[in-house]
Order: sequence, then structure tokens, then C-alpha cells
Amino acid sequence: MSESKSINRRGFLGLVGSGAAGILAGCARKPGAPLPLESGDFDPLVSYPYRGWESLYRDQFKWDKVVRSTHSANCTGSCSWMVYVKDGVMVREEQASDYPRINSDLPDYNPRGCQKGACFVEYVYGAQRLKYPLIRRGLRQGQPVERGSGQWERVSWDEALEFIANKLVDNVYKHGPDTNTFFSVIPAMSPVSFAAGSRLCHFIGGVFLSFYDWYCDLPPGEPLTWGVQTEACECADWFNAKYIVMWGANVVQTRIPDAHFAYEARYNGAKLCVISPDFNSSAVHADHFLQIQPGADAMLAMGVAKLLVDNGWIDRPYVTEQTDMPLLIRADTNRFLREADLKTGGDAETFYFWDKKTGHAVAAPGSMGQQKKAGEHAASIRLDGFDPALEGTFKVTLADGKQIEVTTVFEKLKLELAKYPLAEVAKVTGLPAHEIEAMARGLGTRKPAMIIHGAGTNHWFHNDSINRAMILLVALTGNVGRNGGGFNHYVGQERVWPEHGFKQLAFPRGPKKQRWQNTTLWTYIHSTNHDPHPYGGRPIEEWIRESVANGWMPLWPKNDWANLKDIKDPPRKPRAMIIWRANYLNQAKGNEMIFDSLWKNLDLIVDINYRMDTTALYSDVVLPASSYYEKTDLNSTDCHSFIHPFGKVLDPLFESKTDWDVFAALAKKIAEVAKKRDLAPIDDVGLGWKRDLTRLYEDWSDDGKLAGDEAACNFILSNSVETKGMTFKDLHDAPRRFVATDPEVWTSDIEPGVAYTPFKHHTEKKRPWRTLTGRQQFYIDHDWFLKLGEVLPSHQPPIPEDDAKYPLYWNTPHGRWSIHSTWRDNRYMLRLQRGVPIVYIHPDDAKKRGIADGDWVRIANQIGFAVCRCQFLPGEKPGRLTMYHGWEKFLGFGEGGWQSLTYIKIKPTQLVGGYGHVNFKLNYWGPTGNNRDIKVEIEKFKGVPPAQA
Amino acid sequence: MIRIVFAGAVMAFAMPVFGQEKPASAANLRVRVAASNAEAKDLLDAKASAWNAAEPINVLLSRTPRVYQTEPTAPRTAPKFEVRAIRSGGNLFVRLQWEDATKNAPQAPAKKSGEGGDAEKIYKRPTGETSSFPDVVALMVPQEPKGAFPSLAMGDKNNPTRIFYWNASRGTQELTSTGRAMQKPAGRDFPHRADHADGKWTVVLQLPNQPDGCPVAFAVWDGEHQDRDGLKFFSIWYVLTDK
Amino acid sequence: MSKHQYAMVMDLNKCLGCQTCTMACKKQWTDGDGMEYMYWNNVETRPGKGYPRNWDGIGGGFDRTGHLAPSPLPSAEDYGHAWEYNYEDRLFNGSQKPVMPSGKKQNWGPNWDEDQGQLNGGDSFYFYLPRICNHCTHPACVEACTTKAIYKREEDGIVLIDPERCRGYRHCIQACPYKKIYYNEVLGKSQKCIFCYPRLEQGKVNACAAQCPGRLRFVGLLDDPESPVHKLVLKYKVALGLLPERGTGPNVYYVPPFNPPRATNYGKSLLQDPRIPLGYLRYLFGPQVDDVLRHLEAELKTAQSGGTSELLQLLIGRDAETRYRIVDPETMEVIGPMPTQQLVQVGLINRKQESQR
Repeated sequence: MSESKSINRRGFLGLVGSGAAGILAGCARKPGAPLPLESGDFDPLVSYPYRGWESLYRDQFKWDKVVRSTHSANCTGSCSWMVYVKDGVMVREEQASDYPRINSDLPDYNPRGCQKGACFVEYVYGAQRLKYPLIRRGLRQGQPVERGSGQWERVSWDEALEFIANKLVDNVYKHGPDTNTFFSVIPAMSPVSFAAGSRLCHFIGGVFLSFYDWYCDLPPGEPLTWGVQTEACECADWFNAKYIVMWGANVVQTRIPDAHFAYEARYNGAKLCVISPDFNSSAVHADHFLQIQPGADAMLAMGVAKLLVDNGWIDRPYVTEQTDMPLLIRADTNRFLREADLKTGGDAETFYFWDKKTGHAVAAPGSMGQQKKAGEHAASIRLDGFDPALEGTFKVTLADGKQIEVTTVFEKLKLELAKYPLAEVAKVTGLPAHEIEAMARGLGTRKPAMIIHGAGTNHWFHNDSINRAMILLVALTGNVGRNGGGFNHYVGQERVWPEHGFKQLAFPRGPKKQRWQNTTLWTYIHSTNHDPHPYGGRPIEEWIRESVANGWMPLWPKNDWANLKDIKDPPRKPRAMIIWRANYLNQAKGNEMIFDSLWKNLDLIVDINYRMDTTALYSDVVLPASSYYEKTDLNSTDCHSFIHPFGKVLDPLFESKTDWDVFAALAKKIAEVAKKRDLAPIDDVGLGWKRDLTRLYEDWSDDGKLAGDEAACNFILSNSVETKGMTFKDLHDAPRRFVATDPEVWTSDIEPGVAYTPFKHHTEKKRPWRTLTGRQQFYIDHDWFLKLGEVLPSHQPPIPEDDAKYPLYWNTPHGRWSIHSTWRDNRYMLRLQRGVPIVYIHPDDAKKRGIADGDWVRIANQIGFAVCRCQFLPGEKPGRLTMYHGWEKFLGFGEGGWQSLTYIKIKPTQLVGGYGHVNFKLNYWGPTGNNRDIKVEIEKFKGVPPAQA
Repeated sequence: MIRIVFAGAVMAFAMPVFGQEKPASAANLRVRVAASNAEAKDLLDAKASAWNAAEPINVLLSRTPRVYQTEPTAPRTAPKFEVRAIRSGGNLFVRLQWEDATKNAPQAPAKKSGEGGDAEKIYKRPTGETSSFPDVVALMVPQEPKGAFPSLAMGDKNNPTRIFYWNASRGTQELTSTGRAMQKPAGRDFPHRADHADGKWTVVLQLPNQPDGCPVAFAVWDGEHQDRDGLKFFSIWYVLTDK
Repeated sequence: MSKHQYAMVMDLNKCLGCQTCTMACKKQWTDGDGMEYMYWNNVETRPGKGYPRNWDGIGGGFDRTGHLAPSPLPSAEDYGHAWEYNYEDRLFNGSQKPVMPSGKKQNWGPNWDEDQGQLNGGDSFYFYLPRICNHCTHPACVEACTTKAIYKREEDGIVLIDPERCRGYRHCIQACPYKKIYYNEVLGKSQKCIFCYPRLEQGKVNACAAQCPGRLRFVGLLDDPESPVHKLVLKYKVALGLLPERGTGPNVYYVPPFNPPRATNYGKSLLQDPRIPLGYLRYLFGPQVDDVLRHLEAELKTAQSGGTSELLQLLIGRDAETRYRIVDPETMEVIGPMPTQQLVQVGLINRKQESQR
């Protein structure tokens, strides 16, 4: 019998692998062959007599209820999930997978969600969960333990709110409303929870901090070139591309729900080119991988731009109509030729191109000056029969009769590009010349072509130059404002789709009645952060003071900045900080410096949170917020064009409250304190607002109309054209696509059956771009840009550090295992990593230093140091260390943390204002908190690594 | 499938004597049962004086032939295995003692408890070891004591057996069986006491009474060597014989 | 011999290594006592040691003569312990020591060598390999189970362990060439992937497929000509089983992976001095992998030069109805996934958007 079976098996082995053979071949033992008595008279390969047990797993697949919700973790995903409840406990979640198809050709968005969303219930009941209000031990008794000592006094909500309310009211009346500071991030993921606190900030005159620029998610090249914050296509539009460059974006790790569109586009005929210093997870499935030298991205972009121009791979009609390339530049001043130059009393916001037909300089339509004349809506960039010259130098006569030479921006650009010969570009980028040419050919000849851009490149100090150089590539080739094309930047989640309703809810009396603050500047000034590098020969502090004195950038609390000797030592300091939906301290660049300055100066730090994160741990008062599954809110993203809800899966657990209810209670308590103290209304002269804190709750809740969070959701929906006709209840059926776009906010319409892509209002409807010139503007003739030699896109090398002492770049990108710090401390995630923070290092860099895979290492630079474990990564670029960001300071580090090595560096070009479309606006324009130009050294750790007792 | 052929052979000869020094003769295949009126709690104590009155029988064990392809090939020598039996108060007490240098009684670790969050909802009892096995001893009698000797391979269709099974990790369990892979838990356990000392296991089992002349067979598994299932030392049928 | 055979195809050129499948399975089935260390679905970076550590190097399956070739049992360290963390000490109880995982030092886990791969000259190469039970046509576990507690469902070929009859002997674990059976010490039983039969019976596709954001999994009956798995495995012949020479006839099939060309190789054929050495792919997927890669490259070339590839259009898998075909094995009538149109009728999608399609 065994003999016959062996033959039988050999017979089948012969067939294995030939497709069907697997199933068609005979099985190990001939089915039904005589069976040994003593092992039961059945053959488990044929049939099985005891299958009754199978109900066991069927019973496990039964639920009491299923509720639609999502997550609010500063994530761009915006994924609709179903949460499964059994015996009153949330046990698991699964993607709802019912996003409607946009059309029958585009792949759908289902299933939308990642491994993190699939285990959020861990946080609902987890050991980090905050259950009760806590106050730093001894604080109320006047003998506080140190912040961060992890020693708490459990108090009632009433006690906690009373403590906070008294401090805030004291600040308003004794120190001024601008000493109360509020921080919460990206409203899009949960606008109601955001607005809860921003409304309170608004009505007590507090300072509201930015986040999108601070976290360096803002691509400054977009406000500079396009006059917008960030405009990207929804990810389904990737599928329409025929050439995709993933540049500084590792979508496989940071856009898990959307990455499939890129690979499906590839199967649909697109070529995929990935540019990164490391062989990252997205490069694994690319057609072309360019392992670039860190910080050389603008060099490559300028080199490729040169190849596009030299090979004639540019879309001349598009460039002539849609960009500033034909506009005339004065040879004598290197500034645009303006109407004011030609006519006395002419305006400074009208520009000219050279019309080849008439041989005259003609006012270019659509500029800010032209719009004022024509009226914004009448204005258009249609050339109306003119034939602007892209090349050439011409003579014009100024108002004073002087004749000068002018040339085009395009001519200026060609001069700039001449500085980037292929050989030099190959040398600096470390890439083979013929592969750079191959990329240029792909970008120049395959249409439509898009760049998918992310934090990998956006976090460099010179991110504005890098952005502008990359945008140049897709603009020259006519890909901006077309489906499947463009420069699509995805980092953070900057904007709420139903923006009008949201803004009315969040800042009811409008932007002029609100104190705004760029957080990068605020943190730099109010901490001991110090950037030693001079820029244009001046210390950064001087640039900052000039900018603030000019009124270009705000800096709260208010001081007489113009006459202040040392801007780093202002007499008035912030006193209170209220933080919710954010982990400010853990995520702050230079947080070592913040600990011993800003953190010491603040006399009240309140953290509202569902888990004890690093900021909560180092706070004075911690208020337990309900988790994402215990609240009512809305959720949207720039990655897709749908909106869906947070449903209350269960009522708030333990003693937690929704953010909306937390701030309602705080507003009531502040009013109560004001009444108790019998406080007269305070005259907030700065904003011309007489504030009556005794009416705070009535103001905050709009006299009770906004008493509940569902009312707030409906307020947003009913006050935004994007969500016209939708109610919160509707959203529980399925995600709903936006029905229209507000032209004041968006640059394209929502068209049924078409993926959203921006800028069609300009490319198709010919509306002026939102820039000084009314065109995609690559030439910025602002004084500071002229001084710093950045009038045009250019390559600027990374900021030099002490490379002999600290030879390795410190790279802290966004990764797959967390959304910033959320999920970093989650057991289910940590078990699928190495359990503690790890730093990736190239084996050669490690061996040189006697470091083995898995060793504990010490990473240090002039700022600080961190002790953690390392992992070899052969795909890493030698000369660089990578630690995916967001690790909580309290978990797994021997000492320090990933931010202990970083400090704030502000680029002067991002402090400018008073230039057409370039003016401070919260999260739209202001210095970014970059962190890529940091250098470190690494060694084997000689001490005793930490371990659980 | 060699194992199947071989096990068939086991059936055929009914009483195989693999690798034993000397052949067993019917004369010494007896387990003498002493009588006592000591109480159960005392008799469960292996050191109780009553046990001195019970005659020690050295039961000869044999290693199952290497019919399992998962079995290590290294040759194994059978441990010394002593049996004593006492009848008392309607129960049969059996004291089993055998050589085993290492105690193997793996236990799943206890679950973590914690103050944060909702401990009972977040902590599970983990698996500590995946490749270790417990020491085990078993005693088999026919379900029908008066019937023919069942197959040593856990009985057969016509001659079902009762198996009293002790496992160093999980305690006792009673099984009924009509042959290899046909065992079913009877849903009962039975009192026992076990102790490992000086390289020896001593296990006292309190069984329901079995009549005079009832056939009985024994088997021992050594967890140290990943013994389990048919990877064991077994005895042929002995007979319970009252004094 | 089962009447029908469920199969899964995984397109490794779409896998993101995101472990959503791993977590979907974990929260669905293996979140109970004794199960924390086990991942019925895992994703490992290849080349690498995998999970359990070195599983493919220790044996299992059948030898050339058709006999079981069992391996030693992997130890708990080879799987990696499911660490617990002492959060409370640091966060609530005043300790100044960092929160750390349990155990002296962490030395292995189910995803320990994530993204590591190897160097081929100066070029790194790696890819992600998701693994579940292969529900083999010739399951070594069934052959090895002396209690006959493992069986193949006659209607759909799903291989299951009967927990009522399993005695925890673990012959099956030693016999499985993929080490996809796990021992639950708390229960004293072995457990494994059940191919989500309770979901399939309701017309819902396996959790690991339903929740896969990379959309790389295709599910159906291998013998159903309409099913995507039939097309990919038998019609287009681009999906291969893992370690075929182990002789168990796995029913999970893989579209083998490409990496981009090595530095300076752009423009060359992917089979000419490829980043992933062919020898390594042959080791994993057998000698046929060369033909399959050649076929895939040709199709990709067609698509990228303006043509249309029927095969790649299928692999795009625009929606669930394309990727999965779940039938009642008795009647062969389709019971899932529920087409979006039906979702509309049951009110899960409102009609306004429907009209937008």
C-alpha cells in the first residue's frame, strides 16, 4: 500500500506546478482506498463525519450592532469604517467599502482604510485610555510635582473646569487675551471637534495657532506660484495619468488606501518613476527608480527642466497663456515691467507681454491690476488675439522718457537653466546622465504626466525652491489643470471641503476678529531654539524682526517689535496653552529646547485627549475626550471627493465627553466664574470687541442653537454649497460625493463621472490664477527674493552643518505604522514591528562603526541625543539615518527622542508679505517647520538598555 | 502511510513485545490489588502507609515501533515502571511510579492584569511555548471487563476501552475509545495526586472500581523527548488480581 | 477529493506590505486566549527569514518518494512573543522609566525583517509576500494527523481542524511545509486559517481580501471558468503556487514580483540582469517563473505603448465584483460580492450618487 502510494505521489509530483495539475492530479492516498480499521472508517480527504463543530466560527461571525464611523488622527485617509459591537463591546472594525464609483472606467475607492484603522478599538479600551479628569499632583495645593512625572490627582469635571476657567479669566483681565493660546490640528478630519475649541478661542480673544505650515506639510511653492494653499487631484485621478513621478512621496507607506491607483494606472498604460534616496516601499513596484542624493531634488528638477526646453518638450501655447513666461522683465532692475513704469499714475499690478503681431508691449490680461479694472469676475486671461513672444529682448520707453531693454521671464529662465548642465546635474544628484534623460523624455512625451509629491522633499529647508522647480516641470509641459496631470502634493489634510459652513462655525465673526499665529515663528521666538546660520549675511532674528515690524508676519502676544532690541527676549510671553486633537510637544521640532523654555514659561497647559500621549503626560490638566467611536462629526479629505460621518458607536465611555461637550462645559464654567467675580465686559481694543464673558456660553452656543454636535454637523452641511441638501442622517447610508464647489475656494467644478482635479477654472474657463500676475507665476520680484537670489526656481544646497563631526543626514519621514504619533504606542502595531523605536542604517555605515543589526545605538548632534535600537536597511542611502517619525517620547527610547536632534530653522523667503498674492494667512502662508537638513553621528550604545522591570 | 501498515501488524499479533530484554510470560502479567479501608484523601497520598501493604509490580514497558514519520530516530530505553493497586470504598486506587529525569509540565502563562484602560477587555492569556509537551501516563481497561482483550491500539470496534489519562499540564481526563483516533472524551475527570521528585514521577489515580480479573494496560509519555500520541512506552495487557 | 476548490490569487506587484490583511484576520479570528502570537495571515519581506523564523528552511511537505518530510517544531521564539507593555507605570503611576515591551530583549517577531531584503551588487531588492494557509489539494497536515481531526470540506476544499477532536499532538505543524498551523497552548489545540468559510457562506469574501487596500487578492472556485482565479491560474497561467516541490498542491497562487531595473539598467528587459535574481524567484515559485515573468513583461509593454492588455485589465480589478466570485458550491449560483447596484436597492447607497455614475 505504501508502495503504490509512493508511485501515485511520484506520478503527481511530475505534474506539480503545471497550472491545474495541482488539483487535477490524484491526491496523496487514492481517495476511498481501503482505510486502516484502527484509525476510523472515514477518509478526511473525501468526507468528514463530525462537521457539527463548524458552527463555532459561524457564531463568532455574528454581531449585536454595526455602526459607521471613522478616525480623526491627522490622517489624509478619510476612510469610512463599520464598527462591530458584541455584548456592548466594540470588538473589531471593517472598511464600509461602499464609496460609489465615479465612473465605470476608474477603479473604485473600496476598500478604503489601513491596518491602523483596523485596530483602533485597541485605543478605546487600551491602557493609554484617559478615563477621568486628572490634575498634576500638588498643583492645586501649590506644591506641584514636575510636569511629566506621571503623578496625578483624579478630580471631578467641575473641579478641573473651575481650575482652568479661573486661569483663563485671570489671563484675559490681568495679562490680556493674547496670552491664551489654542492649538488643534487639521479640521477636515473632524471639523466639529475642531470648531468646538476654536469658537471658544474666538470669543475670549485667544491666539489660534497654525499647524499645516508648522508641520511643514504646506508646500510653500504653491502659494508662491499659484496663490493657493495646496491644490491636488483626488487620488482616483492618478489612474488617468500616463506618466507618474513619485517624488518625495512614499505612497505605499503614507497613502495606503490610495496607492492602488498608481499601480492600477501602471497596468492601464502609465509608466511609474520613483525618485528617492532609499529603495522605498513604493519603488518596489516602479518601472524606473532613481536613487537620488538627499537634498539634490531641485538640482534634478532644474536639470530636467533644461532638457525639456532644449528638446522642445514644452507646450508653448499653454505656457504662453497660463504662465508668466511671456511677461516682460526690466533688464536694469530685474523687476517686472509695470504700468507704473510706463504711465505716471499707472498701477503696480499690471504687467506686460510683447505682442508679436503689433510689435508692442501689451498689458497682460488677468493680473490683479487688470482684475481691479475689469472687475474680478469679468477678468480673464484669454489672449484675445494677441500673440505674446516667449523669447527675445525688446526696447520700451518709460514714463520719464528713458528707454530701457526688457526681456521675457522665459529668457530669464533659460539663463537660469544654463547653470544646470547635465553632467553637473548627474554629479550632484548621483544619478546616471542617461537615466535623467530617460525621465525627462517620459515627462516630456507621455501625456498626461503628474508628479505625486510629499514630505520626503517638502521637509527640506529650501522646500519653496524645490516645490517651484518641480511645479515648473509640469507647467512647461502643460500638465497643470488637466485630469491625470499636475503637481499633486499630499501631506497632512489641509482643507475642509464644506469650507464656508466650517469657517462660520469655527470663527463666527470672521478672520478680522481673530488672532492668528504661525506656530513655527511663535515656537522659535518663545523657546530657546536658535539657528546659528546667517542668511544673506544677516542672522535670522533680524529677518524676523523686519518681517514682524513690516506687519508681514504676526507675533503674539503683541510687543513693540520695531523698537525691541532682542526679538528673542520679548517682554510679554504666552501664559496658557489649550491643546486638543494634537500632540504638540512630541511633534515639535526642537522639543528639547521647548522643555526648558516655553514649557517653563507657560503657567497653564491643558490637554484634551482620549489617550495619554506625550503632550498630555507633560500637561497640568488632562481632560478625557471620547474616542473617535464615541462622537458625532464629519470627515473629508483632499484624497477623495466624498463626505461621511463619525457615528456614535457607543455613548462616551468612562467619564469622557466629546470635544463639543468639553468646550460647552468650559464656556459655561468661564461664564459662571465671570459672574461670580462680577466682571464688567472687557474692551478688547486690538480687535475692537467688547467681550462679556458672562455671556460666553450664549455666544459659544449661538444662544443654544448649537447645543449638540449633531446640530453643529448640520450647520456645516447646510451652510456649504459642497454639501447642499445633505443632512447628517443621510450620511449614515453611504459616503456622499460633493455636489458642487465654492468658486471662492476651489479651482475646478465637481463634475459627475469625472475625478476632481484642480485649476480647470484657469485652464478651461480662463479665469485668472490667484497670483499678482494672474498667471502661474515663477518669477517673484519681491525685494527679499532679489536679495537672496531666488527670483526664479533654483537649486539651493542643504544648510551646512558640522559635517566632519556629524556626517549623517537625520531623516524622519512619515511611515506606515503611525499617523504621526497616533498608533505609535499601540500594542497591535508594535508587535508587527520590532517593539521599540528603530533607526534604519545602511549596513556599510553600521559596520564602519562596529554596529550590528538590532544593536542599541546612540545618535547625537550639537542639539541633543537619542538612544534606541537600529535595524539594517540595505536599501537605505549610505550617509543617511532614517527613523520613521512620531514615536512617543515615553516609549522605547533609552534616552531622548526622535525630535531631540532637531531644531527650528526659518527661511527668510517664507517671512515675506505685502506682495500681491504673498501675504500671511493661517496655514496658507508663513514659515514652515522644516527638519530635513539635520546632521548627526551614530555609535554603538555602551550603557544598559532599558527593559521592563 | 507506513505507519498504517505497521499498526495493522500490531493488530495481527495482538501482543507484540518489541525490544524487550526477556519475553513476558503470562505468569507475571498480574497486578495484585490489596484491600484497605483507608479514606480516599489518605490513599491519594503516595506516602500513606497503606501503600506499603500493596505489592509493587514492575510493569515492563516497550517503545512503540517508529511508525510515525515525525518521531525522532534516536533509540530510547524504557523507564522502570512500578504499579501498586488498592481497593477501597468502591474505588480502585492505583499508584504509578516511573523514572523520568526531567519534569515536563508546561503551563500557559497567566494573563496580564493592568490598571489603565479596561483590563478585562484588553488582556488575553498568551501562549508561552509552542514546541513543548507534558509528561503523561495512562491506564486502559476494557469497557466490558468480562469480554475479550481489546486491541492494544486503544481498543477496537467490538471491544471498546476506557482510558484514564493523566497529563502533567492539564490533570486527568477519562476517555472511551474504539481504536486509534477513535477516542472520545467521556466528559469526566477523576481524583489524582502527582509529584515529581528524585528523577521520578509518582502519580496516584482514584478510579471507579474495576472487577477482579479485569485486564489493564499502561502507557507513559516523556514530554522531554516530545512524546505524545503513539510516541510512547506501552505495556501489554496485565490482569488485576485481588489477593 | 473535494467537489470544488476555493483558491486565492495574490498579485505581488500590487502588495503594499501594509499588513491590513494581517490585522483584519487578527481582529476577526485570532484575538482570543492563546492566540496573540499567531497570525493566520502574515506578510513577510522577501528575501528574509519570515514567520515563523526560517519556516521554509526546516522541511515539511512530502519528499520525492511521496513520504512526509516533517520538520522540527518551531519554538515560541521562532514566532516571536506577543509583547505586553507596561504603559500604566510611566503614564499613571509615576515611574520615570520608559514604557517597554515585556521580555529582556526582543529578538524576533512576525515582521522582524520588514523592508530589509538583500543587496544585489549595489542594488537592494525586496518584495512583500502575504501568506495564509494554502488549503492544499494534497494537505500534508491531513496525512500527518494521527487523530484524523483535519479534513478537506468536500464541497469547497477548505482545510479545517476539528477543535473537538484535535488532541494538540502537532504532527500537522511539523508536516506543513508552510508552517501555517499554530498551537494554542491555552486550549491545547492546533488552529489555522479557515479561509473565512463563515463569511463565504454569507457571500462575503475573506477578511484578508475584503480589507486589502492594495486590492491584490482574487478569490473564487478554481474550477469555475467564470472566476478570476480560474482565469489567472488556468487561462492566462500567470499565477504560481509557493514552493511547489514540497508536493502539497497549494491553492494560494502568486503573480510573481518585479522590481524596477537595477541602476543604469533602465530600458533593458526585466529578465536581463534583474534586480531580483531569478534564482531566488525560481526557488520560491518553481522553474515556470521565467515564462510567467516574460509573459507579464510583454503585457506591460503592450499597455505602456498604448495598447490594451486583457490580462492587466483583469489585474486592475476595478471593483469587488471583478476580484471576487463567490458561489454556492452546490448550485454554482453567485452569492457574492453584492454588486453596488444591489447596494443601492437595499439603500446602502443613495440614488443621487447612482445617477452620477
